[in-house]
Amino acid sequence: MNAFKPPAGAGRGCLFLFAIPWTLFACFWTAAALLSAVTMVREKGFTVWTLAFPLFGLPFIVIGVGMLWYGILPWIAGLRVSKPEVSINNTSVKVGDSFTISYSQTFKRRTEVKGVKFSLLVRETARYQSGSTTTTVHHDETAAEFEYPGQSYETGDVLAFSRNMEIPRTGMHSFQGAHNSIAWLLQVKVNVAGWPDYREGFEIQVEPSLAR
Amino acid sequence: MTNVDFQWNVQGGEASASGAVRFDLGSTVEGTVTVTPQADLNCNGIKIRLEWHTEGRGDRDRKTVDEMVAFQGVLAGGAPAVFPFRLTLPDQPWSYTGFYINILWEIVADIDLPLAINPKSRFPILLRPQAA
Repeated sequence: MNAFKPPAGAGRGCLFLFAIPWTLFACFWTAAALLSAVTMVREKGFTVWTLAFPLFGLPFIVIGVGMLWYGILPWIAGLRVSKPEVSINNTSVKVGDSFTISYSQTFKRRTEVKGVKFSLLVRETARYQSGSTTTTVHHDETAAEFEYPGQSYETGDVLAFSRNMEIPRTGMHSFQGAHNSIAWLLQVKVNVAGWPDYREGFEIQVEPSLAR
Repeated sequence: MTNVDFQWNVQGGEASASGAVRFDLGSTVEGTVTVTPQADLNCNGIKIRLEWHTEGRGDRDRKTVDEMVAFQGVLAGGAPAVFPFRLTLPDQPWSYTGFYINILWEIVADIDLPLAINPKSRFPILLRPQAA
């Protein structure tokens, strides 16, 4: 059996770290502006412009809180379910190959799962430079997907099953260029009732040869 | 700009639905390119290259996988000169048409002229195994 390693999710962590000073500064700035506005109201009375500075700071706080929430979302989702273990029965996947995916995930707490959705998709990633700005865009094309029905899980219960999947014969192998890449991904979304969805992605390296 | 006429004669492969000639992975591309300059050309060399590049949203990736120097010297104006070539295809990357990324293969004939723009001609091919 061949175990997959999920792609590193460094983006969210960096965003979370960036959001901490952003939100702290926005809160500090808005509080200072509010204090100044209160003093101004006491001395000169209320005018429309009194609240202008504190209100200006509010969107920055909202953006900061949004970034913090986005950063810790996977951590919150992971409070109920552990990281899944995914393996396939094929050490070398070729275009057109069938393979069996084995999935297992342990629940840390009592959890009501509405459903588990698996998608096998091919992701194109293109990076381009415009002036001093580098932009990266993605496009996902779903090759196959299936859903595992929802049910209730108690602490320590394991969600485990195997499923046969196939890289289409008309598909493309994994490709990594300096600015462009094509990758095959297995995406998992565990839809938990009243809780953020648990999402995880695993890359499948597809070799440049056609299965017989 | 130097005016040069190129005529390609590529053997092997098989016609695909897109009209381009498809070649199998690791196969050999053979053929000739006929070069007819309008005037005498003193060239550093005629290079025939096998290369791929990407097109689409991202910045271009490209690689020359095989190259041969077919000729060096003076090409007589108005006289067709035939240059055979034989290039070996690798096993990747396959030709691909996607949403943001296209991978295109081609054979390029490039006349290297001193202190002038090189006349070039490109012959597109497909590198892909037969799926069915």
